[in-house]
Amino acid sequence: MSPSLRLALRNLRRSWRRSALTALAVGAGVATLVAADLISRSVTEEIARTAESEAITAFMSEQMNVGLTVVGLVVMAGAGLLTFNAFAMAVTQRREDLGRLRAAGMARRQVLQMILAEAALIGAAGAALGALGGIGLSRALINLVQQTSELFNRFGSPPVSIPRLLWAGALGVIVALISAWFPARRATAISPLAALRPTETGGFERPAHRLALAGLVVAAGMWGYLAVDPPGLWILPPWSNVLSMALGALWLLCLLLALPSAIDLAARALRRPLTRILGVSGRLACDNLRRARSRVVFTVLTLAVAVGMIVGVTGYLAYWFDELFYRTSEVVLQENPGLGFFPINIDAGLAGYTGLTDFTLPEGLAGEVASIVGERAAVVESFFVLAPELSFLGDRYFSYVLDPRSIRESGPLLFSFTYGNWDRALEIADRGCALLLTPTVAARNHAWLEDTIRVTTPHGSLDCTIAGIGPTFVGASIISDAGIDAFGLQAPVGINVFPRTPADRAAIFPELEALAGRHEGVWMMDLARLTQIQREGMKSVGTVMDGMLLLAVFSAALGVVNTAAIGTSERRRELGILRAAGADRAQVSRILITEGLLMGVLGALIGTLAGVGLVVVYVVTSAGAPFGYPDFPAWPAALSSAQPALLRGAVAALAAPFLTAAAAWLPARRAVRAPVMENLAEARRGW
Amino acid sequence: MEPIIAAKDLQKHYPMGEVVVEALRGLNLTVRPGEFVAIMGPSGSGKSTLLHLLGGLEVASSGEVRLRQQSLSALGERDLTLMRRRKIGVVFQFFNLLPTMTAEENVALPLLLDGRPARETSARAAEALGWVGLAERRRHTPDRLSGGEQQRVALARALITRPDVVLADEPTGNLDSASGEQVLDLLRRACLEKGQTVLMVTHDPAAAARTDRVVFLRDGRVIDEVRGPGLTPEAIVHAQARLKD
Repeated sequence: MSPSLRLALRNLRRSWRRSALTALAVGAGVATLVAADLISRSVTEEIARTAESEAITAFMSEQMNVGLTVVGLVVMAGAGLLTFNAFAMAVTQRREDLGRLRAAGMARRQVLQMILAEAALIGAAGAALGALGGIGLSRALINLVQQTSELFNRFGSPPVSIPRLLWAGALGVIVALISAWFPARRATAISPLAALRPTETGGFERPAHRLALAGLVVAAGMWGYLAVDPPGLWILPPWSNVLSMALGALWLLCLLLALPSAIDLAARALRRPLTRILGVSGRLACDNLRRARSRVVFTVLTLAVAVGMIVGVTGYLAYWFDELFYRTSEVVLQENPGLGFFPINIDAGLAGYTGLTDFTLPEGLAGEVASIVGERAAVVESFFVLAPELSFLGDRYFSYVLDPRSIRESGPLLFSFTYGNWDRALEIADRGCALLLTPTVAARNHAWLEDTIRVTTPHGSLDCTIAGIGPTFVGASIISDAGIDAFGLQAPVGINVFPRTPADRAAIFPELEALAGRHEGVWMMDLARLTQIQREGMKSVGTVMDGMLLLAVFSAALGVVNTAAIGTSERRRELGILRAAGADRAQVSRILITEGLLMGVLGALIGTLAGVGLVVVYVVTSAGAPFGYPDFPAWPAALSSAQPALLRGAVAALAAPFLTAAAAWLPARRAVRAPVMENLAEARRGW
Repeated sequence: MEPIIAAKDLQKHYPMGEVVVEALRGLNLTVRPGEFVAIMGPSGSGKSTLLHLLGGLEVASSGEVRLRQQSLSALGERDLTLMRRRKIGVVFQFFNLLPTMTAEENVALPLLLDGRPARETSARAAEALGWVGLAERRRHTPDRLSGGEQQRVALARALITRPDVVLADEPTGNLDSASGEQVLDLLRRACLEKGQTVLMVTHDPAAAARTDRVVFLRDGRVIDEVRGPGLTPEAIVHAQARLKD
């Protein structure tokens, strides 16, 4: 065994608490990535029993996988921050040890190898923990969703994907190595003379207020621009996404620049009131936030990442579901709800898919419906297909095949024009295959009104002309009935009935209900109820997200315990001075716990600010552009989407300080129980 | 006269792995009020351990320390803390000031911990700083003070509560000779002007020569002492040499 590896193992043993917590944080990231894959495949396995059912639902598992993987990557980034912080502080703490090793002849390369070996071992332990934890986490979340959701009440049990497991584990090790790289480089620069000089804990560090000011000025400029001229009102995809990402990144950069000064100013402002409340403990707690800047900033940042992600995801989902997906249906279906015939009992949730072999309605049913309703309602036969070119999200979002004339008669629920008109659209549909698309799908194909898109079907390709651009129901692209033959469709998956007036609805309802009763394997449902179930289903996605996000909070809490512990260990001499000067145990504990509390408040506030800011930037820069809603109320929608996000932020702001105070309490307890002289002694124990 | 501080049959053992190190082996010592005492001895003789036990910073394995007839071993954690805060002043070799506090705040620390009113705290800190000659440096943090100035601030902190005893552990050990002289002058003046009792651990015969009495330790016991007036460094060196033989 090489000396570097041997020393790395000894260091891990000596600082086993720090190592274990860092490994747990890496493990949380790996677990999230493993669980994301398992959960999404569990959904797919249960519902993709026929080509039609796969067409309708494949996007859900795909989007769930994408969303949860993003959460997993952010948790992993949080773990990276924690690892960086832990190693940076460990290098400071072990400065004398490193000096001794260098004095004894250890080469810089060996120092680097030793620290990277530690990181690799921590990453490997985290990867192993995460692989096992991910399987358990996915099972726990699936059970939670099964018990709470009407829609997601049955899941498949796919085997664990070994490539995904290896990928997630390798990512954990790589993140640990990258995070430890910079502290390791710093360690190689430590002089052998360091062994002779005791490490002094530093005083105040003045943050670069100029950078903070620059950040504030840029942020003010950006918000001013967004307020005066919301770009979402004129920009189209994909540029709306590019601009959202650019402005979102700018917002985060501004916050990052302002963070050290914000901490400094908050500590200054709170010094007097906290001194009044907590005496000298309050004063010292505030003072301590103004030193060891990187420790404080990284701790606040770790928390802010977790809180910001919770807040951002909440606002993002609120925007998509409340402001975009159901924007039209909310109004249309409340005034005069339509009715739908389906080949499964949608009310039974995913359990309705059990034993499914045919996902189509009986041939001839549409004719029977039409003869019952006559002129009292529009009847729309719905076919579902997977056409990658027309996918609204990812590659597996379903498209409709519908008769354009029946869409026109059914009102604005299924489609309304932002660009184009019905007369021209029907002319195109009469000539061949016509498409009604959202701007997102048009832009994705670099095409616009009256351009042709070659659509892939199971039987070859089909050239279709864009006949209209505007919001469609839940964003799905619509292919005219020319697609029925091209995709080889036999019978519809749904028949939707849109009564002309509420009186017509009341009149035809009993007859249609009786018709559904006469056909085995046919269920009729109120479309308003269908939308309600879909929205409930989306809430279940939110539940899974929440579960994952809790893991992010858990990971952040580990970070706080770790940095609080290392910070306490680093300042044990100072705590000894205080005890020697007559500070009792409670006074010393109060300093450390108040520090933790303040970092918690700051982390939650900064995280909330970051998350809400990202939501508002996204809404104002996209402003309905993915769907092409005309006259979209950008700012009201942004503020409305920000409300649930702010609520989450408020909960985080209340919970985070308790979490961080509890995290600080552990090392504080350890420090105050040690004899005064043990704290005053230069020799430091590892954490 | 009643001793202000007394150690009786004091023993201190440190377990170091499988070995037990006996730092003090039945040490006896009494100090009268207003006395300036130096404690000398070779490394490992138990000087610093004695000071820590007298200051209530560590607990004796057996034996007793009495401060104004009050046994420290009879005190609970809370009372011992209050004793350190109000009755004992400590000066360390490495100054041990809090880096985020100004000189004035460092000096006032025991009073701040005691929750004294701000006006009293500030007035007494200003007085103590003035007494050590650093009134104009009161707003400076330790990183802006020289070593000598930092040690004078530490001395002012030790004196601010008008303690029964000041314990100084090698107070000049980390200073140049001029700064060391200043600190010794102040300790001497504290005894003369304020009637302060001072116990100082030192290796330096010249520093010890400024005291009233020098106590020599070896292997955790008091083996001899020399008294003034008229103590000189040469006399102390001579005494040390005699003890080695």
